[in-house]
Amino acid sequence: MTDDLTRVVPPAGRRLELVGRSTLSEPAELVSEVIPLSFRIVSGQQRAEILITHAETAQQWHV
Amino acid sequence: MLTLTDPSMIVADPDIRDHLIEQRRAAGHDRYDEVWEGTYVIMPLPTDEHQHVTTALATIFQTVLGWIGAALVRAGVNVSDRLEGWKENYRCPDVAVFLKETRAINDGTHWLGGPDFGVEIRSPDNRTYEKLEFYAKVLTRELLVVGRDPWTLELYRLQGDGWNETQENER
Repeated sequence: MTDDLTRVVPPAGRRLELVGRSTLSEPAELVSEVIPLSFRIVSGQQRAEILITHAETAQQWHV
Repeated sequence: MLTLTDPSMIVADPDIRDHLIEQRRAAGHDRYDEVWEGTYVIMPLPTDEHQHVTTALATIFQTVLGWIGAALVRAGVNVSDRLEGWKENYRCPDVAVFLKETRAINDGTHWLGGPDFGVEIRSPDNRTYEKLEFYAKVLTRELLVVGRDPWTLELYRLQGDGWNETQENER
């Protein structure tokens, strides 16, 4: 940590933009470009669930 | 940004405000509270389901990235746009992933700069979408917003590239 870096000043116009949406009716897979995971809404036994898939190993988790 | 045209409550009396905040801190109820440009925001306590999703996602991220040293994973953390006076403007993403090469700075009490990957789990009245501007300002690279009624996922990505630092010597 440097003593003279005290504040974040982003370039003008920087913004977070929606790049994907996943729902039960449209279960698109949302692929992260930052971490090796993708996310999708899927049906579950008691409620809808979040399906997470590892981009390299294909390991999956249901949340 | 919060506006006076849509307040849930305004405590104009500074003594009552300070007492209220002190009560919340003493009871440990302030864990999820935030401060938006100087305005104290009392956040609803997360439900059990909210906490389940938070814990599960953090566990997965820790499994994939944390244990191998590729990232620091936090289930709740203070994120600010400044080192000094950070308590005047900070948000608390439900899950934050700071990659090994992150440009954000860990100051112990908080992070200066946003996570490389953040998660916000929506609850009624927690104003998630009003935080997007802040997260962009602190250069959060991606933000996953989880909705639960109905269940939805939204992935937001920071447009543009690079990091523009300014060095301000406030001494």
